[in-house]
Amino acid sequence: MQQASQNTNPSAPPPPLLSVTNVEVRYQGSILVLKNVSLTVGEGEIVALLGSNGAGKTTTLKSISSLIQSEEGEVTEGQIFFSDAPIHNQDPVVTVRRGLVQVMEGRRVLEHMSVEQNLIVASAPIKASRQQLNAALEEVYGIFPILSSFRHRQSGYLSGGQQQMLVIGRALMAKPRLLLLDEPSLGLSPIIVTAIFESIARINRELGTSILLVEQNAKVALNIAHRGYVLENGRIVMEGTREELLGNEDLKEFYLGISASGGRRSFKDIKQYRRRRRWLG
Amino acid sequence: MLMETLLRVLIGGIANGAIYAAVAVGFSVIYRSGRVFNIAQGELLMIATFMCMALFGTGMNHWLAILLTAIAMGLLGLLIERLMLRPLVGQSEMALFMATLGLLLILNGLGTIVFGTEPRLFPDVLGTERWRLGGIAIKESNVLGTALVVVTVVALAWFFRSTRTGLFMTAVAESHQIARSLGVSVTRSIGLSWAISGVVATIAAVAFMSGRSVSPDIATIAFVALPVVLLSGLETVGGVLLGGLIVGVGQSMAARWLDPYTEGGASLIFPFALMMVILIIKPQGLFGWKRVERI
Ligand SMILES: Nc1ncnc2c1ncn2[C@@H]1O[C@H](COP(=O)(O)OP(=O)(O)O)[C@@H](O)[C@H]1O
Ligand SMILES: [Mg+2]
Repeated sequence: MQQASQNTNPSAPPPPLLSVTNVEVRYQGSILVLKNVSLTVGEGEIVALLGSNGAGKTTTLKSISSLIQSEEGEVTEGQIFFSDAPIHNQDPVVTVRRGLVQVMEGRRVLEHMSVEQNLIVASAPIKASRQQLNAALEEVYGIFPILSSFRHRQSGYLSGGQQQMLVIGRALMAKPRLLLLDEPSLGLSPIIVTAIFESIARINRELGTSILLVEQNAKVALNIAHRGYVLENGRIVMEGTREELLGNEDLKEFYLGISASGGRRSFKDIKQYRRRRRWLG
Repeated sequence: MLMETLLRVLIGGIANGAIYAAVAVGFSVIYRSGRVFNIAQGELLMIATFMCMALFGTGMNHWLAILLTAIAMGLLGLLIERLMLRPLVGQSEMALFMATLGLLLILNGLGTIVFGTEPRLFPDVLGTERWRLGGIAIKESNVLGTALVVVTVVALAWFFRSTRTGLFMTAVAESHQIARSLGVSVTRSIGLSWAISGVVATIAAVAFMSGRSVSPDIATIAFVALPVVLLSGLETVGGVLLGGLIVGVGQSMAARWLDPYTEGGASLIFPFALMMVILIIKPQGLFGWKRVERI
């Protein structure tokens, strides 16, 4: 099979949809946050970017979407390419128009606007006719039916889970080829998290949207991801396919730690757990 | 007798309230998009007033002159944003405020130099009829002017809630960062808000100045619009109508019943006193945005 494809297509495989190469990011020209980060997302892939608090996950996403600019952050080394064009340090609005949308951490709904108004605003990058706009709305409502029943409700008063669905659905209004999701599970109950991650997998499957998924919750992320990276202190310290990461001893131990948390644990265990947690937490 | 006085006070108050609302809405449109407190809103009204009069002076059709003024004021708004505010993007709100204070001084000086300080009569573009209501005369121009303001404010409120461009601008009002992350151009929205504000200043001029004697001092009317906008809430558009009504009528009542004992002080203080009371009870104003606390 592999040989056959090599014979018919001697050229290199197609370049990934997103490639981040040896990127260094600084805030305010001095605070060094990302060091030599490289990662790729292929067409149609879900890639998890795991790591604990402060590892630099959000910074990675914001340097891809260029949203770091409003925090005086800058890519100072390396390159970021999206469908063969450099996109680092450019106007974030241009990046969105190219088809790369970030869903920011913390369920950032436009809280004084209704659910539907939130969605309509997000159609800004596409020059949609009235019909196209309605079709886009129906597509989002199809994935998150609850949004349809609350379409005229003020989004600030939705529950956390509904707000998370809204911000993901909202990102789809721009018809993105790549979605960057920043900790969609944060602060939500396990049942809601399961539902949301099912929807994320469905978006990837049915709409063909590639996804770079940032999570602290490694287990839930690897459940739907094809590949993953682990970020610690602004560096990539581990990478692999879903199976490789799930089979990794450190990750396994971490899961055991979680599942055994009901029982008695020695201080040494907890220290061990904390150390693991640093990159897997 | 009392009925008649009350009616007279009400009618005068409503007409004043309308001009406060018209200036206040120009204020809030700019504040929403760029978090800029444009202290020079009254100067825009003054420039629009005198630009209209200069064009009337050429003998052209009044409505054509008003249309041209509206276009020129829209462009002036864009120009101010481009030259004075955009270079300050990322600076503190205080820096932006100081820029508009500079604008106030420049436009004020310019107004005095170009138009002089002598009061002049603004033509009766809205008619000269006097209608009678319950024994009192009402000026046609006041009724039409008030109606013009109401229609303008309602149209703007609709624009910000129901059109795509308006919704983009409302999103910018909520959060520059969220708007940007959705591909909405923040600079375009801010520019557009200054243009709208310039056009609104023209409408306010026509609505209120018709048949009045005007001088560059009319800019000071913005100082009463300031309490109106804080009372209504900085982010509201439609809410300025109620804010204007409350301040206009309240001020007119204070002028009738309290000023005789306070040497005219009560009606001057009233808008600010009311604003202080409301801000203590409801800091975001009557219709302003209270940030919803999220867990
Ligand atoms: N605007 C900023 N200015 C300076 N430092 C920042 C800024 N944002 C984040 N950092 C720092 O960068 C590091 C990584 O933060 P972040 O990317 O938010 O991590 P994560 O999303 O993995 O929790 C942290 O040490 C944080 O303090
Ligand atoms: Mg983060």
